[in-house]
Amino acid sequence: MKKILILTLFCLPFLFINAQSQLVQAVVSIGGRVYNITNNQPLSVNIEIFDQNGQRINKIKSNATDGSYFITGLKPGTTYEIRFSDFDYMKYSYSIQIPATDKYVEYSKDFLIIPKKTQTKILIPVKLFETHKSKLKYGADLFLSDYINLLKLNPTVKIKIVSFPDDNANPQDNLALTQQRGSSLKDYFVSNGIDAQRISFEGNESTDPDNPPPTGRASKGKKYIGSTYLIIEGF
Amino acid sequence: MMLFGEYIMYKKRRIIYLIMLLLCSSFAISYAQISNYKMRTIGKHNDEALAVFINKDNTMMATGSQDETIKLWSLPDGKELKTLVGHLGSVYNVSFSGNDRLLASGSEDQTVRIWDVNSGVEMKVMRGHTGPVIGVYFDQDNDPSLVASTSFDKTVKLWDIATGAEVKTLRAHTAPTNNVAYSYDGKTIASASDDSTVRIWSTDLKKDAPLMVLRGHRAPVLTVVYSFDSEMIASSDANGEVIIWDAKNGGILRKFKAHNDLVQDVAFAADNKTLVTGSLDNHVKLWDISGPILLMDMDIGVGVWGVDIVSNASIIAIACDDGSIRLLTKGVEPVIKKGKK
Repeated sequence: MKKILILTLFCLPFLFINAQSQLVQAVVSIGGRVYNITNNQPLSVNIEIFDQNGQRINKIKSNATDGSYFITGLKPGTTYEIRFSDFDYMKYSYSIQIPATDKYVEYSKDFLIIPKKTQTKILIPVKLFETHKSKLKYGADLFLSDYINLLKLNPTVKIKIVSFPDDNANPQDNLALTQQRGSSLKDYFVSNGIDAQRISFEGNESTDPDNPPPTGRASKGKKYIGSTYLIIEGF
Repeated sequence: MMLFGEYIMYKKRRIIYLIMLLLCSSFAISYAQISNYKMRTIGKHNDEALAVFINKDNTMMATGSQDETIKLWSLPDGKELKTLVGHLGSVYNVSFSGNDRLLASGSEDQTVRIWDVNSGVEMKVMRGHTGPVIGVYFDQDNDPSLVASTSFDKTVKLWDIATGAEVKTLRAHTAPTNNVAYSYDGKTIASASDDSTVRIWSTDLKKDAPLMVLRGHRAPVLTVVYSFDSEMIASSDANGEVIIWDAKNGGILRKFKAHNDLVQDVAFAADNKTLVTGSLDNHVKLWDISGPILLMDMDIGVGVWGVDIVSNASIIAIACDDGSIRLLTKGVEPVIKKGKK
């Protein structure tokens, strides 16, 4: 009995320290939705979380109804990689640095995932070029890095860059401009380590029928620059 | 059959009504004239100017444009101070932080960016929206920590400005969200949407559902703003209507047709009853919302995307669809106490 009492007294400080550290060790969670990039429909896909040592720490599946997911147990001040590697979708990876915090925090992040299907059309959502110019705008690299990562993670994927002009004034000039735009973008990808054989490009004489320039009142407050698409040509 | 006497009485009444109507109209005209705002153009963007926001101490304003830049201007003199470059698309909205040190901008390039006002340096680029960012609004606390944004992706997002992390996504709108505002007491956020509603959200990050859904507009709601006492919310829509809501219970306090075209922007003066509205019908109007009484109506000659007003209503800043930035500066204090209801 005396021994048990001594042992308990001996262990108490350790238990106390452990309890304290449990309190101090804050937990961070991240939640959001996963959508199909082509139609914005919610997706049920596998999501894996890796720590900075490349160790998988969790695997979950997003909800089929609304695409929602929730990852918890993340440590503040740590970098994690969230990977999507479903067979039917292109591999995708997102690195997230959890800020240092001493309290429970939830972060939010939505993902757009690309179906692994030939002729899938991905609209580049930012204006990469100035009106009637073919040089990539300063700052475009921030957005293009997503596509470089995508091509690196999916090394067998071949893409075609399809570029549309800013107006319908001169078909021949438009074709030349959009081919130059395609070439600029291809050069950028190649200079960032993507094999040139994987990339082709195509210009157009007239504006994008799926995303035409707004006319009349609808054009107010909108600056139209021809769309640029990446089309999945094969795997 | 109407008797002769009754006919005379009927006619008399009509004449009295007519005289009263003429009197009211003349008062209104007098008020607008005596309000005596003088317009001057202080500068120009290279494309349509889409937004304007005056800082808290009324010494500076920021404008956003389709030319993808933000410009900072001094007040009251209207000198162009800086041009902030970085966005890869139209800058749809700008907002100063409560301490005037930071500026947030929302753009077609789907980013929210934070700028240091003094240096003009881009401090954070926050990516997370999956559509163009239409609205941004800083937490108006003196030590701001969050910025809210709205987007064509139908969500309202909250961002931690220290870390750049996306801390909350609020989902309930069923159509693109157009604009957002933080209450000055920091307790709630209001968002305006193409779904014709205004939704009120708690700034308590644990709450997901809106506290209130304000229904009353019959067209897409384009903007929303709180009064400085956080007691009222003003919203405007694509039909030119303005609604003043009770921020506590969501009741409609006033609803009026303010313009003949969409009203993209509204702003309160510090008295919490003077409201400025700007529209693509080329007019800027000043209202006493207690009537509402139209205090001033000026034909700017070009469409108006953005308006803001200094605390004492002596300067109205306007962002125009020809790219020009204009100031309406008040000359003489109005003396007439009546106006058109």
